[in-house]
Amino acid sequence: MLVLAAVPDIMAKRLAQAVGRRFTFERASTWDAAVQVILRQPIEMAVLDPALEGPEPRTQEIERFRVLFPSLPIVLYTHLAPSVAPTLLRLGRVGVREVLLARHDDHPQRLSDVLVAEGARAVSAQLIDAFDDLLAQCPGDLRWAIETMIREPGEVQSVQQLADRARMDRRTCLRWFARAHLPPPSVMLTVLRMVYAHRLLQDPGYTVEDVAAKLGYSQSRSFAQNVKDVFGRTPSDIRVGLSPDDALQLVREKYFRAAVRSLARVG
Amino acid sequence: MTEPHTGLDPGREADDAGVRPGTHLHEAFLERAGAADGEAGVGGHALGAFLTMRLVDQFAAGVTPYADAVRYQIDATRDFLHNLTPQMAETAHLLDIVRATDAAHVTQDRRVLWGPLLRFALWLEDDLRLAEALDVLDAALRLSDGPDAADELAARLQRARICRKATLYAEATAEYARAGETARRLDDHHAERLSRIGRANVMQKVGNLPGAEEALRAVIAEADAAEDAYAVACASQELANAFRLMERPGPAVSFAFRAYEAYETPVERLGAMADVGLAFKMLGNYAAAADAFGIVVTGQVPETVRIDTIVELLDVTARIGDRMGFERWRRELMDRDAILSPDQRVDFHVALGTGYAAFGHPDRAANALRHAVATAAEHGLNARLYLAESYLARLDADEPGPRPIAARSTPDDAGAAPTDTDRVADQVHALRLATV
Repeated sequence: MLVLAAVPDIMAKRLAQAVGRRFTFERASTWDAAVQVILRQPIEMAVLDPALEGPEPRTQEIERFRVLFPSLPIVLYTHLAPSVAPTLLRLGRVGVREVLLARHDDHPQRLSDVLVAEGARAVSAQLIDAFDDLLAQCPGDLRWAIETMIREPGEVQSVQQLADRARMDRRTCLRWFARAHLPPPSVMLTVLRMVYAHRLLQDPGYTVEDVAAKLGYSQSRSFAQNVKDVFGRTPSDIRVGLSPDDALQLVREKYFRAAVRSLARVG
Repeated sequence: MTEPHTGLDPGREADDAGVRPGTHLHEAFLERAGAADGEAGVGGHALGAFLTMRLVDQFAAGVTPYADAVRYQIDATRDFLHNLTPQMAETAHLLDIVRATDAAHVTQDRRVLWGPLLRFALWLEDDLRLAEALDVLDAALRLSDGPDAADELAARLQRARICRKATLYAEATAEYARAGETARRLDDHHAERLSRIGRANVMQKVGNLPGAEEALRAVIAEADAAEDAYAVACASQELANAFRLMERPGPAVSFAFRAYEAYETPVERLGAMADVGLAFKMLGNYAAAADAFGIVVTGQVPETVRIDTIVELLDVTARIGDRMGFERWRRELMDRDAILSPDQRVDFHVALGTGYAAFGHPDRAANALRHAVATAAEHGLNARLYLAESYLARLDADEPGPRPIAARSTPDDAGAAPTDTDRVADQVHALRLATV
């Protein structure tokens, strides 16, 4: 999982030491840079120090993150000082309540606990949960590859890449999909990316172009076409007119009906 | 108008039990830290409390933190507290809690945390930091996973009492009900009686005086039979308050004095004596009232009781035309304005209003009474609202200043009263002479 670390060097180092195996960190040393990282990279969670740019905590910057990217889990990681208290209060009131205090509760195991717990709230984690039942019949490696496809939609873009990640050849991969009554891998790749895109479009901070770029599309037009193929509407339409639950239901009925029926029979 | 000292939002909801431990922000302590604005040590102490409560969260039921991580946090919190200057009573409480976390960490028995947490909450309550006290009790209650039912019961009763003081009446009633259920489960009749007394007190606060009387008489009868002196004392004191609000000062004097006799600790006895004074004042026996209040204000009492007593002395001095005394007590209360609870603020402004009226300052009197009405309405203090409005109406109608309410006897009072008011007045006078 790719995590934005908008924290001073020493704290970034501590994060990397504690959870570097499970999370990859993308650094930002200013608030503007942090926004750009979120817009361009498949960031799933943010670790932010309100005092990133100086001793005075910048509450408004983090409130801005909250408004622009409400789906992005945020962990505050900062040094405790009286000046931080009002910041924590204000951010707590807008829902940013996960706080780590340097030199008090940032033991590596605690850092790991908190990031894993918050990571479970990431968009990809929610999508993996939403499709968990449908992937139950796939072998472990393939399941992991599909989950990777959800977590890093820009990285796995072809059936071959998916098969490689699953450590199987392309034909075996296709057979497994058929056996699990899933749609063909190429279709599934597109569908999952569009569901992911729909979730991102719920955040006001992303433009349609941002989401397209984030998912690895070189042209917004191809992205819009894929959205239309999957949801039958334009990206702007699904942004305001389709709730996450409705989007999931639509996709499950349209592409996973066979898998759902098969599950029902097994059940 | 200054905000009430409690820092509580009357619409505040109880903590969500499902929230993860790291996400409890302990806002009450952050509020104090943020508001300290450089005041020597205050911000640091509030942060110390904040850190300590975060440490306690690691011992909440259902949380299984890594041993090394907890050790790291214990050491860091202890170091922070040791470096605080000046070391104050609060620091001692916090260090006690940290020591208990250390013991809990070693023994894997989180029950050792209850004692220091409840003591800290009580200390905060006595200091009128009600929001902070509630935060500590909420943290304590998150420790409970069943076997700590007796500790949980104590915490729930305390929490209910604080909610009541903070005028969070719906939450107080719900908490008393939970405490009552726990007490019944533990077969703890004494605690169950206390929960009923608490609920009756809330009834009284919201104006259901007949309901409060009925409930309290039942508790007294039951506690008498069980020789539960403390419950008798508490219920008698509450009943005296209810009678006073019902404008029946005769039985109020008797029950308040009975509470005074039944209590064992000086603080509680002085609290009951303050109620004796109130009832005498209502009877128009100002000499006896002054005796009773004099005993209280010279004793070692919590700040909240002292404030209540000073409000009464303010009123008594106005009624007897003692202008110097009136100014003295008014200044004392103005100095304490920031820490007055909503009901105390209403009482203060009612006394101020009636006093100004008595001294011939109708404009000032009206201002003070309007302030009282607004505060009482804002906090749902119905009985006080009625009183303040009636005084204001009298003032607007250009009637003479409020006069003492005449004693009123009802047929059942004679039978209910365990002693007569004259005998109580003599006893109080003797006690006053002894303190002088």
